[in-house]
Amino acid sequence: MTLSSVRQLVVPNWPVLLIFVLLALAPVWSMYGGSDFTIRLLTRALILALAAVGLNFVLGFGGLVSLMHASFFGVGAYTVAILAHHDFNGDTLFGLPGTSNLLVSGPAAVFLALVFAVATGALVLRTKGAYFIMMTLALNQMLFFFMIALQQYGGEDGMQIYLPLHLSGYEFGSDSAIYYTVLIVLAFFVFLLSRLVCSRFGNVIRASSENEERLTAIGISPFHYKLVAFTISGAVTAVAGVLWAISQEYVSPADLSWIRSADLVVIAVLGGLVRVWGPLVGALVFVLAEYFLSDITVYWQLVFGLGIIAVVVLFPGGMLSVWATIRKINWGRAHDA
Amino acid sequence: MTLNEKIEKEPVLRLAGLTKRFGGIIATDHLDFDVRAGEIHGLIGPNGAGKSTLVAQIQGNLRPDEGSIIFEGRDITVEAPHRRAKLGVARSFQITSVFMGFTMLANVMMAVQAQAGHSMWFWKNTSMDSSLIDPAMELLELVGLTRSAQALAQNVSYGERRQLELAMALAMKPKLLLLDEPMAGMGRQDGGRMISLLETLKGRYSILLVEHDMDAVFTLSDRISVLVAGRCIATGSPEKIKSDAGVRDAYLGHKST
Repeated sequence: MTLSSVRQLVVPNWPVLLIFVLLALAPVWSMYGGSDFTIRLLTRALILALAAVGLNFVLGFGGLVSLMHASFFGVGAYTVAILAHHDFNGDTLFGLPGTSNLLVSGPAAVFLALVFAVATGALVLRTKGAYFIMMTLALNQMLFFFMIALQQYGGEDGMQIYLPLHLSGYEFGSDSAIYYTVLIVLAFFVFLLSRLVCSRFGNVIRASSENEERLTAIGISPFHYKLVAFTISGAVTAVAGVLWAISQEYVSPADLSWIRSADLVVIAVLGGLVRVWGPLVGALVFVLAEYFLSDITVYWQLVFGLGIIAVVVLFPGGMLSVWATIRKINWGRAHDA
Repeated sequence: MTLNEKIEKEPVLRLAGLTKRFGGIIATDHLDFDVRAGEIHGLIGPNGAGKSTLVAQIQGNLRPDEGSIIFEGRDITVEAPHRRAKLGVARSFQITSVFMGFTMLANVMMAVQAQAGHSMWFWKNTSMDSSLIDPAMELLELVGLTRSAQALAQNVSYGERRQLELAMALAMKPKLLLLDEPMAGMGRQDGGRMISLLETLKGRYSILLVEHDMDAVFTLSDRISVLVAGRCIATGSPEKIKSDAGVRDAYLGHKST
C-alpha cells in the first residue's frame, strides 16, 4: 500500500489532545501507586517520540526514508555532553570555555545539527529511493565510527555528564520536572509541524513525495524545498537528542548507531505516517512493548517483530488508523454503503 | 514596421534547426517549427515520429543536441523545466501525471500556488486560503469537475483525471499549452467532452496539440504539421494537409479513413 492510498483513511486529530492530557496526568498517577521508574520510562518514550516526529516530517510527508536521523539525535546529545565535559574539566574547546547552561549548549546543539543537516542533505537529496537509503545509512555510520574513534570523549564507552545541566541556574530537581519539560517541548513541535504540513511549504513537500515530475512541470523545483524540510527535520530530532542528554546524563555512540535510526523509522511506521503525531503513538507502544515483553522473554524482539508485521499488514496506516480501518470493514453487511 | 507590430508577428514559440539524437537514431531532425499567438497548432505523425520527444524538449525534460527554442522572443534552449513553467510553458502529460493522493481541488491549488511565486510559506493553512481555492474552483468549473472537487485523484475516472491535467495546465496561466495526447485512452463520450472543452479554449490560448485522434485534430486545429522520422514534411491548414499527397503517402494513406 502506498502512502497516497493510506491517506484515504480519515484519521481525526482530536485523539492527540486526549493523549497529551493523559500524559500530563501521568506523574500524578505515578505518585499514587506508580513509581519514578514509570516516569523515566515515559520520558524515554516521549524523547524517542520527538525524534521520530522530526523524522516523520520527511518520512511520512516527504516520502524520504532516512536512516541517518540517529546522527542528528547524536549531534544534539553529544554537543550538550561535550560542552558539559569541558565545563567540568575547566578547559576550553577551540578556545571557547565549556558550559553546562542549556540556554547556551541547547542552541549550540541545534545550530550544529542545522549545519550538519544542510551539508548532508545537499548530498543525499540528490539521490532517490534505495540510493537515498544507502547514502543516509553510510553518513550515519561515518559519524558513529567518528565518535567511537574520539577517545577524548569516551570513545566506545560513551561519556557521563558529571555537572548538573541547568537553564541559567534553574536545575531540574526531579524526574517529573524533566518529564514535563520533555512533554512541553514535544507538544510545541507537534503543533509547529502540524501547521507546517498544511502550509504552502508543506504542500510542496507532500507533492514532491507524490510526483516530482509533475511538480517540476507546474514550475516548482523540489530540491531546495526538500533541503529546508530535511534541515527542519534534522533539527527537531537534534532537540530530542538534547533532551536525551538531560534525562540520561550520559551519551554513547549507541545513541547514534544506525540501529537507533531504524528504531525511529519503526516508531514512525508503527504509529502512523499520515499524522504529525503518529510517532507519539508509535513510541509509546515501542517503549512499553520493549519493557513488558523483555520482562516475559529474552526473545522479546522476535515477538515485537511479529507485532510490527501484524500492524503493518492489518493497519497500513499504523496504530492511529486502527479505528478508521475497522470502520471501513463491511462486517458482511452488503447493504452498508 | 513598428516594434509593437514586430512583437505581434513574433510567434509564441519558434524552433530553429532543433535536433535530438539517441545514439544513432535521430528523433528530431533539424526541425523548424512555430506556434503563433492564439492558434491551435496540431501535430500529427505515425508512432515513433518523435512527437513526444519534441514536447519533452519544449518543456525542458530533454535537452536538444542542436538548434534553439525561442519562447516569446527569448532563447530558452538551456532553461530548466521549472523555469520554463514559470515563464508560461504548461504541459499536460500523455500518461496521466497528477498528485494521486491529493484531492482534485488540492491538485489544481498546487498548480495555482506554483504560479503565485515561491512557496516558502510555513504558517498559513492553505485549506482556508481563498487566494488558492477560488481560482482553483473556477478552473474545476471550467473543465466540468466541480462535483468531484473533494474526491482524491486516484479515486476518479480516467477521463476526469485527463480533465484535471488540463485544469492544472490552465492554472499556470500558460502562454503556451503543450497538450500531449489529451484524448489518449479516452472513450468516445469522454473524448467528445474533451474536444468541446478544447474548443472553448480556442483563440484564448496558444496551443500545441499532439494527438492521434484525427477527427479531433482536424476539427480543432488552425494549422497542422506532419512529423515523420523527426522531420516536418508539411505544415498548413487542415484542408491543405488533407489533400497533401506526401502526407497521404507517409501517413494518412496507412489509415483506413
